[in-house]
Amino acid sequence: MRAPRTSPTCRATGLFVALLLAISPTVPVAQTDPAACVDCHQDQADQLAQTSHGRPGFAKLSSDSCITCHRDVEQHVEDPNNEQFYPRVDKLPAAETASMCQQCHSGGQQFFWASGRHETRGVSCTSCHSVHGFKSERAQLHAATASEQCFECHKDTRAETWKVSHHPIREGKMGCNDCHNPHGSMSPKMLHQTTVNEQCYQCHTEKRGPFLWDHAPVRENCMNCHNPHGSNHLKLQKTSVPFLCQQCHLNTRHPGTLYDRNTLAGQARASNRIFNRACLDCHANIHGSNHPSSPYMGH
Amino acid sequence: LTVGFGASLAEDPAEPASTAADFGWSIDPVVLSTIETRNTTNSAKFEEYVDRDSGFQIPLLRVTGRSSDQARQFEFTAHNVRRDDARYRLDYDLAGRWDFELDYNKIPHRFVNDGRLLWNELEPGRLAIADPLQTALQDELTLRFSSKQPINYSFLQPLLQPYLATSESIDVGLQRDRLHARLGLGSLGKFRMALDYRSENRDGTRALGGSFGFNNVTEIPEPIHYQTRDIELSGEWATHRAGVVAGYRVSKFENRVDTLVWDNPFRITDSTSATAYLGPSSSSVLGSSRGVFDLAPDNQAQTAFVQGRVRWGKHWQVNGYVQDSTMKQDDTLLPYTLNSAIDGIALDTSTFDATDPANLPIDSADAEVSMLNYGVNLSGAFGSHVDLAVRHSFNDYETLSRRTVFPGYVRFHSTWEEIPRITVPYAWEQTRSSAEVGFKVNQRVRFGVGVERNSFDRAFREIETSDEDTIHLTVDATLHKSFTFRGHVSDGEREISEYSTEAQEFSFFEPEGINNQPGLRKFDEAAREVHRWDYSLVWSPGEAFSLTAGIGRAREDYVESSFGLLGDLLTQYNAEINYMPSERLNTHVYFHRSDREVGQRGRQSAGTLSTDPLNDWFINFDERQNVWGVGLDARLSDRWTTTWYGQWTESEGYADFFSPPGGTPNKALDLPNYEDIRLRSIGTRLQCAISEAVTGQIGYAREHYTIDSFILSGLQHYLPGSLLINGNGGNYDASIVSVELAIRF
Repeated sequence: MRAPRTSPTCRATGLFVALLLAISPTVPVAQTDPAACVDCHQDQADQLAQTSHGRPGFAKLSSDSCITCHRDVEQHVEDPNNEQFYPRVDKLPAAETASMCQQCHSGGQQFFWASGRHETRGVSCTSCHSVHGFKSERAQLHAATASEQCFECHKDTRAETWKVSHHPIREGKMGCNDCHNPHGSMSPKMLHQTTVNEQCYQCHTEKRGPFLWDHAPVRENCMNCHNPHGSNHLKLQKTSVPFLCQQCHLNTRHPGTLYDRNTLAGQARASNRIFNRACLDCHANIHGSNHPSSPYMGH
Repeated sequence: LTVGFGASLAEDPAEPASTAADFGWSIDPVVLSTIETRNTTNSAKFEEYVDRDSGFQIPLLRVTGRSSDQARQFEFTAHNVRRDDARYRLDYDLAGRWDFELDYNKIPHRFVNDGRLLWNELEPGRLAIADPLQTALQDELTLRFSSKQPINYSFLQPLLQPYLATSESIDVGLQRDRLHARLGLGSLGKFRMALDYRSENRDGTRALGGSFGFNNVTEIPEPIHYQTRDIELSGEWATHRAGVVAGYRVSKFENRVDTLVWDNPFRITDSTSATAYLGPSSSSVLGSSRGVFDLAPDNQAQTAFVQGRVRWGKHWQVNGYVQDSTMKQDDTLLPYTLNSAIDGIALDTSTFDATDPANLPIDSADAEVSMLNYGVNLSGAFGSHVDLAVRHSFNDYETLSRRTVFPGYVRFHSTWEEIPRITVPYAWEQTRSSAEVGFKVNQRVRFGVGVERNSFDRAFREIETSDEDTIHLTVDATLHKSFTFRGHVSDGEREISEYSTEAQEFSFFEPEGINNQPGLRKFDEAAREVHRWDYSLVWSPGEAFSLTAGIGRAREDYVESSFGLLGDLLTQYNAEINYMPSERLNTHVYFHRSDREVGQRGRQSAGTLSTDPLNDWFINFDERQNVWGVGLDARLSDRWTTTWYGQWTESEGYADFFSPPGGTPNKALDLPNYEDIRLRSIGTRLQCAISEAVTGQIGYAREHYTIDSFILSGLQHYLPGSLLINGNGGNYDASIVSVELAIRF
């Protein structure tokens, strides 16, 4: 829940957790005695005590204390300084790590972990999360925020968020996980919702419609025109208006007209169809219109 | 102030005996801060999504509490208390029984500051111009028109200038206040239930084009007063072997101001003519005294969903889901126009009052969409070396709205167009099927090969069916515990059925004739070839050093398109080095570059569709982005730490035009500023642990932002045909000095 900080209170709580785990009667004490673990790993116990893994709910799920996650500890106990026998979960193959965590985390956000893109390509729980050494306020991540965690790998996407038109990701007002479920989903790109548009409609409900006059590609996929990760054009447009519109509309008269530097504000052939919001100055209801006089997505 | 944590070790956590009395509370931390902000301009961009006003603030307050038996936990976190960008979170749970989460997130979104507006807001949804001003401008135009003198920018600009000079100032922006409350039951058990409630209030303004004609584009602030309420009830039964999730969600959007009426600066009385939509110009000075905008209508959506999974053996699993949604909207329709001079013409050529909504063929939109989605995945492994994933999904978007014929429409509030139109119930089905086989050389190296077919079946569009087949190869390798390499290569090809140019006429009740280029293929449905590859590596030979690097390319070629989007090529590179020579020093430096090239072709036409290649024009857009960043965290002593960071982001775009000589256009001029943007930011913080409970910090940050955009260049409040808000969302050079005190109780 919060970043680790060792204090007397933490240490006392760590001892409490260790004792709580020690009372488990189901597994031989020789294997599970957390007091033995805490003898050497007091800091980890202190830190664990501040997290969900250190609370009574954990004991309800598992009576195996530390070896719930740290298996094959016998050799480590016999030869504690031998790195080869460190029972570190984060050094296990990805599938084994996931299997370990999925003992408890198999529902909720992790419901579709198996066959998700991350699982398939060998990303494991410990690639992002740390039980003992996390920095984030929530979700026990290696990084300070969920988005920063994603950007550890998705560098190109991070760069896109630095473009002038962007969702408030870099400002911390939303995160990658608002749209994507990194634990896996049944949707392309691991979206929470089943289609791109349904994902966008979670926040942009006013564009959900349906409208009297619909704009067909809008109803199909918002990403036909927008790049949600960032753009240097207004409103996350993939290409700036009016040229974006002209990729589909080259009709007679103004739709097919070339709008170049000659038509900019202040130029000899200045045209209000290139400056400011260009086409959208008139076709202002481009996502769909409800006005009887707006078959062209105007007012 | 930390008390409690009594050791009631013997208690069953499922039956906690704690009470409020034995709760231990702590404040860890409360951060008190004062900031001083200086900005060379009043650009809205500086505070686009944040509140950086000078003054006292509480950047962070966290209050936690735990019962003595650890079973109950409370946490309240507040960021930027009472600021426009505040966020408050509250969590309370009884371990294993239930949990409650509350998240209240305030998000400002500022567009421009210090814009100018001729209109006054009489009430939400009504923008008015003083009658004497409208009268004066109409009289001036009428006089000039009757004397047959030209009415153009040279005449209109000085005519409006005195009024603009004394017009109202306006900041355009809005505030989103988002709330999410969640009550979960049985979070540690096989059965879970959750009740989610979400709401968002969005209030403010957004720039909107409210045109009265080709030569009378007026930009006005759209009143935004949205309210969205969602509620979802879901239940889950999950074990390691199997699981089912079922739920139901209702979402309701309400626009509290769903109509905007605004005055025409050039008309005080209603009038019309066949050319009124060209006014004010030498062709006409007629038109409507008011415009009316039907803003986003209220709507609601309902969704029922079931998800499930079954695992068997050591590796195999089937996932599936079915989701059924409906989206409805039934707002009362506005009349064709508010212009009392316009008579509507019915299909039988009789006339009617176009300002009376009773003369509409329907009185409300009665629009409805049904959407069915389902999917199934099978995944598993044959032994330890071969794995398989087969995925199939289906989306069916069907518009259930009836088709409605309108005998005509009013163009720009000015002119009745006797062109009957009919609404179009667009529909589409998408089917995606894929299979991927993975070969694990060992536990750390996996090669994957997969195929996918992505098929569309559309109604009322140019292309009825399309199939896009893609093959991909992946490699994911972790070598020597310190080296990870990932690669992905894919090749795809989309084939389409016959392209129907007649599709553009589906919204016309009577055929009007093709007026779009027949060789154009709308890119979202056009035939194409797609080639993508990307590679990344992470090398971390020890705890002290890591190198991350990546390169990728995505290329789309629209192979059957003679016009429109022809191709899109994106190449990206990135590198990042983290170096921590000691526990006291941590540094990093990163770089990213992207190059994007987009090609499109058009052909300019006059009143009839041009077939002359000399009238062609071509654009090649070249957009580059470079990002450089560096950071350093240092522990100077046991008490002193410091952080430094800097980032330089540069985007440069160039639109390269070509038009063959001899046609129309004859010669095209490039746009060298196809969005040239620079953002430099640096910052530093110096922290001192004054005591175990108190930390002090001073900080300094500076941002320098410049934008040179063709679309904004030369903007004024009044330009040929356009009356604009023209606010400030551009360059700034700003600095923030902060002093903070973090205290833990």
